[in-house]
Amino acid sequence: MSDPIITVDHLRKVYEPYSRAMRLLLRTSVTEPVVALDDVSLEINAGEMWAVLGPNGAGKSTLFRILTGLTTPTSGSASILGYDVTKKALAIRRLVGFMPAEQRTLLLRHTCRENLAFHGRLQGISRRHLADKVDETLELVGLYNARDRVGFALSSGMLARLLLARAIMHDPSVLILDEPTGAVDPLGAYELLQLIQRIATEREIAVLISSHRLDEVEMLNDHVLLLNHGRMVYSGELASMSATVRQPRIEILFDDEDSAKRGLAHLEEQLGVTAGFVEDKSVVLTADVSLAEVIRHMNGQVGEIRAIEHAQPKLRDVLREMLQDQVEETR
Amino acid sequence: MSTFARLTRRLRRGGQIGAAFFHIGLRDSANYPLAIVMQGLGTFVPIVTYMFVAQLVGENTSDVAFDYYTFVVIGIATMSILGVTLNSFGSAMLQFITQGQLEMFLVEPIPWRALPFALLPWPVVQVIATASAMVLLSVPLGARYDVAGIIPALLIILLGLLASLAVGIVGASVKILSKRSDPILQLYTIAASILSGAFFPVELLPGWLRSLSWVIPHTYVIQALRRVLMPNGELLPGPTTGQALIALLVFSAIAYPIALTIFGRTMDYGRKIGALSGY
Repeated sequence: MSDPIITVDHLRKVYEPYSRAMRLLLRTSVTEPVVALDDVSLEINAGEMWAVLGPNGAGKSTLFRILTGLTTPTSGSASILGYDVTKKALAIRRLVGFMPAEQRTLLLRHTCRENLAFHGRLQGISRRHLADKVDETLELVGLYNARDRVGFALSSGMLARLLLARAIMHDPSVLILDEPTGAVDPLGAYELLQLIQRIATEREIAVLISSHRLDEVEMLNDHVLLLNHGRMVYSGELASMSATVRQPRIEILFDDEDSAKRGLAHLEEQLGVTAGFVEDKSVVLTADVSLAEVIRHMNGQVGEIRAIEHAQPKLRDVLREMLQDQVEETR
Repeated sequence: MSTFARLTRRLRRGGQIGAAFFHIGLRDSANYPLAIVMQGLGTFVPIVTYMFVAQLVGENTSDVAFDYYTFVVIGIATMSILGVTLNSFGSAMLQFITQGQLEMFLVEPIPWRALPFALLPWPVVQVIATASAMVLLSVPLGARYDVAGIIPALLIILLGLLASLAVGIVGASVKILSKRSDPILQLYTIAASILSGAFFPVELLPGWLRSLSWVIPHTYVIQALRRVLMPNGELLPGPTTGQALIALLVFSAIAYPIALTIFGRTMDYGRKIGALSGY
């Protein structure tokens, strides 16, 4: 196997409170050191798509900021194609395409073409190739017909595509996408992700993508980096992640939430089950208990039950359990 | 690669980055036509006001080369030109921060130390157009210029822009961290308004203040421009044009390494503490 495109090695970032002199210039709410990343290590190969997950404040943005050279790690290192992100920032910026979450990072008073031409010039694309490259990229993201429209006249979905176009125009080896579908409707988001997947596969780009939409992560079905309070909870293939949490899982769908709560109380009493919870109208059992036992003990409540089944844990539940486990470990 | 080839490549790259920002600045300004009109109208006010002030002052002193109106128009036009290099970089950086665009520029493969120069061409073209309008407008109002002085004047302006940009870079460095306050530029602008002799001859200042006048580049630029552009400019007291140019070169040679070091360290520090995006 060839060398990884991105290597992150025991990365740690601590935001210190401002010094006294700095506080004279600008106030800050940070009064104690904030550990944004703690001992994160990772290797990403060409063509791999890594979804970076975690609650707010998990360290996703800090990781992206370090990889794009916008901030420096406190300790540890990160490199892209062998270039240290701190020492070789200029070279890194040619290798990375960055799509920020905020659409206002575009020049909204300028047309799609002007936005890309500006980026192309800063990337050093020669004047001879610039116009063709701009049109080719707009065509790729489906914005060619809107090429002469200014940013303010574009929908959120189109702006997201323009942000993507800017990120890929200079043919980067790494694509860093910070909540790319944040402002996009579900159908548009699906299409955008398909486009990203296609580009990443065709160009063999290593992709890091953060998203709070778990259905999108499931759709990508590639690799996952789960962060919580700056610490790495899981890194690896999405398919393997589910296997790390308790199995099997039985879901019992009731008529309503009250019935579900009564059902759970009943099962806890009869089976001594403690690993269960109510979710909407369902009781979800994650304890090692057989379906037959459950059916036998739910006999009295069968009139209130609509369905009962073995189910694969949802990604949301997997994450919840993994993050819960981490909280318990740190106690 | 030879030194010459490296230098050529760097210059070409610098030109490409400068052209990118110039194009964006031009298109941006074109989006706000009324602002351009109002800015143009704003040039009338001092030119007309000082025409009347000049009538009051009279023309009978060699300290103003026997022509106070031309003397003060050159002072005002120069202050507006140098004001751009003092303020435009810091203002542009703050604007990029508040609009959320700074980080996008910082992830582009541009050496951060090149930003002050890359952002300069459009505001400079704009202000030189405005200053030229001031000067042209002053002609029918009674100002007299030596046309042969235009070419040397452009060289003097170029050196003056470079010298005051060094001060602007230091001011912008503070602004990047402090976001709003800008003590260095505010103090410098106040000092330059009083000490540079833009509105009155430096000779009128008390002795101890007069010596401070010759520490700031504005004074040399205004002095040299008056000497080459005013018909009786050679009568003005103070340094000759050559001496003023040498002073500007020396100032730039000392100030640039300091200013760029401060700017580089500020960006590195801002990067470390995560202060480049917030405002």
